[in-house]
Amino acid sequence: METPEIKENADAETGKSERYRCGKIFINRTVSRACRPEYNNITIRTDHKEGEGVLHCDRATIRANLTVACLILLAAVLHYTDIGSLWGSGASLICVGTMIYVGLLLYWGVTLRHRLTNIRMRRLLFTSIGLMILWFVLRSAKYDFFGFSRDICRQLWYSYYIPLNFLPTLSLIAAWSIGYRKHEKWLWFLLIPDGIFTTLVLTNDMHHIIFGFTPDIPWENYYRQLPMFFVMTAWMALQYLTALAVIFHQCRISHNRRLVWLPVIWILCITIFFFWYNAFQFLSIRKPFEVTEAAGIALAAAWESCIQTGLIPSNIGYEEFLRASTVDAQIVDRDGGVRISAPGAESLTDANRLAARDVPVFLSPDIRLQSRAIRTGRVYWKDDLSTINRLNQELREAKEALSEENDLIRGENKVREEQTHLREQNRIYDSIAAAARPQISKIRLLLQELTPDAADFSRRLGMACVLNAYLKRSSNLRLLSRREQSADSQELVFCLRESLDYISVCGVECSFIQSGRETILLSKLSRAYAFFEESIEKVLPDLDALVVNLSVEGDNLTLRLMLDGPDEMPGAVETDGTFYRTFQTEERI
Amino acid sequence: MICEIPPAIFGLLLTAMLILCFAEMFCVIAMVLQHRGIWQTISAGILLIGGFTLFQLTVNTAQVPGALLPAWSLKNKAILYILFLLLAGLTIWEFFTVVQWEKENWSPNTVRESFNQLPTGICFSDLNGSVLLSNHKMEEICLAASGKPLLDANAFWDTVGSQGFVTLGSGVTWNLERRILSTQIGDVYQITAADVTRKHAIMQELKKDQQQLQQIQARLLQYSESVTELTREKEILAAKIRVHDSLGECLLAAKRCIVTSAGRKEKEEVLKMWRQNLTLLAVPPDHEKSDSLGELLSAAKTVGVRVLLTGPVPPAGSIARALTEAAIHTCVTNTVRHAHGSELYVEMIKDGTHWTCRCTNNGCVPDGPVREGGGLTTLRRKTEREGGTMIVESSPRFALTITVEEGGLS
Amino acid sequence: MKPYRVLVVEDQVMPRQLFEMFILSSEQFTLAASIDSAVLADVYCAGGGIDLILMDVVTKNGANGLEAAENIKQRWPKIRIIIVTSMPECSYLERARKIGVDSFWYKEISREPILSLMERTMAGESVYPDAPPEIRLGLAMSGEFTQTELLILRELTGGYTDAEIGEHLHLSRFTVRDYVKSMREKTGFRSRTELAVKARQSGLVILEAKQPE
Repeated sequence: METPEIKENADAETGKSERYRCGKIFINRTVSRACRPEYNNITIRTDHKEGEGVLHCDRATIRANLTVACLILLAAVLHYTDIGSLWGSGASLICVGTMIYVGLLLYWGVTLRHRLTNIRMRRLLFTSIGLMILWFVLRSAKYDFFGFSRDICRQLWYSYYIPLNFLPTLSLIAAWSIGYRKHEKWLWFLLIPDGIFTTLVLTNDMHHIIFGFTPDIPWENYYRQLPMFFVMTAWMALQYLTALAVIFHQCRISHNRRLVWLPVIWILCITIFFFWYNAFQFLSIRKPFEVTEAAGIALAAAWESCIQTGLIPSNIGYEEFLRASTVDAQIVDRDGGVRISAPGAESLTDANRLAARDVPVFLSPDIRLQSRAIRTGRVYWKDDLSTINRLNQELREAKEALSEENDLIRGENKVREEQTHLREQNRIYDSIAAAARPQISKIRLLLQELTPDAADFSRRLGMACVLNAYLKRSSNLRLLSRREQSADSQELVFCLRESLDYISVCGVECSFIQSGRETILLSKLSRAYAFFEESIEKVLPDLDALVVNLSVEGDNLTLRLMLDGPDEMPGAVETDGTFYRTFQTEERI
Repeated sequence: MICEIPPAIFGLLLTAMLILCFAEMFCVIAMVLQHRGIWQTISAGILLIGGFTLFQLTVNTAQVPGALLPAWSLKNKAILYILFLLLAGLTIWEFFTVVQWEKENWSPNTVRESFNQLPTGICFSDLNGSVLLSNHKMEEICLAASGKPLLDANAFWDTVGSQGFVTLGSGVTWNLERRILSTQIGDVYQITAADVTRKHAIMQELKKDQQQLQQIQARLLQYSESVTELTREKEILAAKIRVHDSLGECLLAAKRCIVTSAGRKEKEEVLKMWRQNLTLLAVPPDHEKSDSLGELLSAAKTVGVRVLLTGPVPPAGSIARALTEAAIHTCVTNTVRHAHGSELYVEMIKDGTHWTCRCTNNGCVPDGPVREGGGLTTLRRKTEREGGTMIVESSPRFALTITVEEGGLS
Repeated sequence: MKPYRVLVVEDQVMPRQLFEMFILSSEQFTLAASIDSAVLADVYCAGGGIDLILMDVVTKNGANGLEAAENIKQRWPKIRIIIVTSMPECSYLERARKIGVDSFWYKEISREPILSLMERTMAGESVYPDAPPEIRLGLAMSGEFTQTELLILRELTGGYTDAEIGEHLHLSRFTVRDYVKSMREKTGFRSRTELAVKARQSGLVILEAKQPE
């Protein structure tokens, strides 16, 4: 036997899986009980071909079928023999066969109560069983209880047509009910013709349109079947055939089509039997089954084969399903005893169950136990909340992280602020450096190739200091002007003093006079200092003496320079070899 | 006293007895199938035997030869009726206990009833799809999702279940899973439907939040880069301030030098410090953007490799440009180290947005197939990651060819 | 003795100029080349004219000096490398040691002049600071954090979730969560984002852009 691999990759996220194929008819198999296996890529031990049906036949069912067959055989045998004559007392046991058949019908009915899930189907079949039993009772009454009266017997015989007429209609409605199809109310109207025909049969003595009798011949020896009888029979046959067609059509699962022959065979058997019934009569052979028995067997067998082939859903194996299920459920009876448990619920204790009786309880943070009452006890089940708990946790963390966005915003703002400030600062320094380029070049020129041994080392160094001092101080003024618009005039005094300091190092006699102290615009201070530097730089190498007079009044300042030493000085007023230059903030130089 | 029982009445009596036997038989069968206690079953059996015996005796009494109708004494008739009524009463009582027991006690349908209480939908079917057991939830889901009743589980799975999730008109989302179970009666499919509406809603919200978090993450990374940039600028500014401040130091040092008539060494120190500061002061701001390819070519030239580039150059910032530079970089180092060449020939070809870069050199020919070392391996990885191809030829001479889309894989 | 040929890799102009001046003023060293991106360092090394590299860590276009140093050490182990940085990032020191970098110098902090360090390095010494500079982060000093905490803190500045950090560092997300909580308690910051922002601001940890495999 092939054991193909099942091509099933049940992916819990996508739910995709493939159907397996190829094999033989699945007949009977006992496998070890599954205990929560992982169902990806499993191997099954028997298999069946797609298109072929499945017989739900376990050992118990086969045993039951064989027992039924034996009992039917026994009844048939008893039909041939007279039990009473066995002990020659003159007494006889009657209705033994009837008891066997009715017993089988009752047994079948009781099992249907447990097996069939479709309530309508169940009721229809119960009614059919009831009608069959009625038929048996009518037959026994006719032959065994009311044999003394021919009229009563005839009426009882007419009464056979109650079950005969209604059974086909009930079968048709039952066939239509397969698969929980929406019930068509018009089906019940089919009972009307049945009612009419039955009434006609029961009242045949009044009108003789179903059966005709010959006055001199006892009715039980000879009767005619009149045209209306055939109409009635045709109606019965039509209903039976329609029921068959509906069953066939209802078989939506293509692979069960081939097993439709099972119920069909039983219906064919009874049809054939009816044809041969008369043959038996003519051959004067005792029949193994009477019509009633044959009809009863055929009816029960046909429906039972529908159940066993799966055409009619039944609850075979319900307990096994729960035992193998991945749903963690447990059924407990009224006394608290565990009846059935799925593998995942086997660990539940009495304490767990007691706690969960009325309200859900948590066995662990991720497992919740609940229960509900059922007719015969309680059902408990576990819910796995781990995924939802995890998701909730992630959501909480995400929300928390989102709520911290403000910290990031604060950081971003701070960085932006600092960047702006830094860029501004860098720009200032770059502009200072750019403005200082002339001085830098001059200093470089002075220091270029200057060696410590040079004769004019001190002079050149001194001059470099003067330029450097101006560089430093003017940069400071520039930096200051970024923050303030005005400053104390003392700032200019410091600049002038430092410059004079270095000028005197170069050997120049310097003097500084100041008067007044005000807060003045920085731009004015810078211009005054630039004027001073520009004046000095030109003549520094020749300068002997220098007087600087700074007077500050209000918002204005005047800077007067008196220089001695140079031979000429463009832009200055000369008097006796002394040069004068003045800077005033409200006038041009 | 001999009493006659009218035949019709007798017939009815016998019919009633037969029906009683059937009822007793039903009780016995029901008790056996209900697995009732042994004594209960035996008592029902006794009733059955009693009833059947009474029936047979009554029938045979009527069959005594010569007697057309039973003619009994009043006493016998009374006994008959009393026994019949007693049996009937007991049978009726037993019948009701059977029915009542059936309602209140265990049956396989209890399992179905239990499944109907579960919040999950569940359906068991055989491997052909015949539904063996399903609960109301699953039937409702099937009807709501597919418009058809649940008859063929395989068809239901193929149309609805295989999607994994199904949201019904009511807004409830179900997660469908199918498994094979091995049971005592064979392999069956189990389809379960779990209500994941809340889970789904949380997942949607979580997804939304995670998208926002990703944006925040991107911003954090951006912030990190901004801080790096800020640190750079701080350093630059600090350096400028330092240089600026050092002007003062230079002045003081120089003054000291002049006033104290310092020695030669001190004079040299002062000059050196001053010259350094002046150099730094004279440095232009480093804002200018430089061209990485230009720098690479310049670097190559420094190490003695002249790069001769022909053809168009991919735009700056593109993947093709980055890979071209990486290829030239690798080839320059290999030309120096292995080929000992002095020229690298780079041929660029553009075909739409497709770029090809082919590098060869004037160095030695490889002895055998080129073994891809660290540089070539890294280059190959970079190229293939962007969906490009790299071919290394060893003969007749070394050649490296890279082809890639301008924007890479994106 | 021939002067040692030095390659300066520094993206900022002023420090680079400063290094150049130091080298020019020294008789022991001569400037081979001065570049602003670590990417090109190996090209110069391939030319065979380099004895010592002064390598900044963060160079132009994000090129990482440590990666370049590792690459160079593998191919030209004889070339000496001094890592020069102002970033207090705690992992640089250890990583440099692991790579085999010869010496390490903090620009602002190290007392020793760079020239002296260069001379000692060429003499065969390996000069490393004892530890990265201590930085204050909230209420805590950088020395109070464990190695694992610093690793997690670095990832945190990238905006990664606990699960993602756990994945990167092969830890469970619960472990990561506990570490983050511990760091918040140490620093007194009220949220992990604030911790990440301040950590990055301080420069204690710098997350490098992950290179795909």
